[in-house]
Amino acid sequence: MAYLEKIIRYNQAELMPAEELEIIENGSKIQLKPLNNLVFLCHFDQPRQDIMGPVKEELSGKLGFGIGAVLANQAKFGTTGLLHYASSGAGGVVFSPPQEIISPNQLMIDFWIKFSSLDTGGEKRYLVDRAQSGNIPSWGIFIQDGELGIDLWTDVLTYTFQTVGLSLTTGQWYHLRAGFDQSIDQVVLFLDGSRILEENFSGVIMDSSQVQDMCPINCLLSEVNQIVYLDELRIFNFFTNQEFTPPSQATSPYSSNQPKAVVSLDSGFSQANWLLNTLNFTDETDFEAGGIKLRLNASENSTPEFSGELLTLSQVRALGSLNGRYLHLEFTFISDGNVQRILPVGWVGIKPQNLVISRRAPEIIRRY
Amino acid sequence: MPRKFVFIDQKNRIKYFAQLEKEPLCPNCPSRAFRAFSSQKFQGKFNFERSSLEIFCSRCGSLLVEIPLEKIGAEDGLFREDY
Repeated sequence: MAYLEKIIRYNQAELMPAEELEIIENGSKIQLKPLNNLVFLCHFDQPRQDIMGPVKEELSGKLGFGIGAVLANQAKFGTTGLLHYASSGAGGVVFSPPQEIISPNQLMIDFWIKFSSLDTGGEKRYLVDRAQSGNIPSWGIFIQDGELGIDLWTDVLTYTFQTVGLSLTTGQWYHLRAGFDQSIDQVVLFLDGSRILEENFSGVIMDSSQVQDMCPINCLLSEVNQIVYLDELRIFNFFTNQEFTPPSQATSPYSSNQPKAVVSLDSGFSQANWLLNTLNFTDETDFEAGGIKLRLNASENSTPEFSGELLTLSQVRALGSLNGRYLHLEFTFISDGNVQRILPVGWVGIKPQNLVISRRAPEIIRRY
Repeated sequence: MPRKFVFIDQKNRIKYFAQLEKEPLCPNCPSRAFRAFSSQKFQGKFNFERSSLEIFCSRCGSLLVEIPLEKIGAEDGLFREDY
């Protein structure tokens, strides 16, 4: 064999952040963790829809229906689509609720939102709710003239919790999260991860087990919501009143948009020659789909220093070779939350420099 | 069913409360007019100047009732310190 092969395993890999990646199968794989307790996810990434057009809810593949809605396929953080409707008249998107959010003990609803105006004419307008177009309302997150709030319908009282003096601005994306926990009777509202409202309520939040009496999940189900852009609607079956770091891009539901894993290979030789065209993995599906990208660094130093653009696997192979005792690989996991990226075991060819000996002409030594 | 309103002024650490014991009815709008697209026949609006809650008909916008708000500040110990 013209070169040695170094197996790439991940037992010693550094995960960033450690909460969003995990090493599995005795170090032979790294996978992007599914988002804990996520029960509903909708990206609104489909191209422009017609009136009454279907909208796919990504997590379970269910379809919701847009009512007079326009899904504008315009840039949102330079990437995909969002929910907004510019046409006149009522609109919105309606989903049947998944079982996990019917009469839940805990629930967190979050989404990205941008306003083109904060003037709702004094009227309360629901952004996301289970309060309209059904007989038994449960909860609704709303805006009213630049103030945010949440309504809860319990079996003893109907509650409106609303901010006062919130300084929202138009044209800016906000991450909004609302949640409640019935075991501690607490309701919270977060704006960009900061708690803006925390209160107690009493009673059991209402719901129905009968489909005909059940409120669907409504998004922007109103006329005045023409002033609203909404995306990345997620519903979690958990509760926290702790402040948090929201996803930094609307298209990526992970707190670090692109979690990374770093692994360092030690050749054991000074100035080893790493043959990148021999870099292979047992399953390259996620590389080919653009879900895993790489950066490399070869050096005599055991500490990696990465720089430059993220590369595809084929771009890395085209680099030819790198020299150094260590080869450091940085794997970047890219996912919109639907796909669980998996990095399998790999291998790369290596030539120790000290095996490359230039041939010399034989020396003739005279013997006397 | 009674309805409780809680307004939270985070900046000034003040909360405002009000409670409606029963639904106010709009004299202009029949109840069947509210069936479509809304489960609420009225909505409340915080009036900062008057420190009151104004309840409007959500269909025709008529002012139905105005309730003075109860005000609680941080000094009353009911405002969370970690806001």
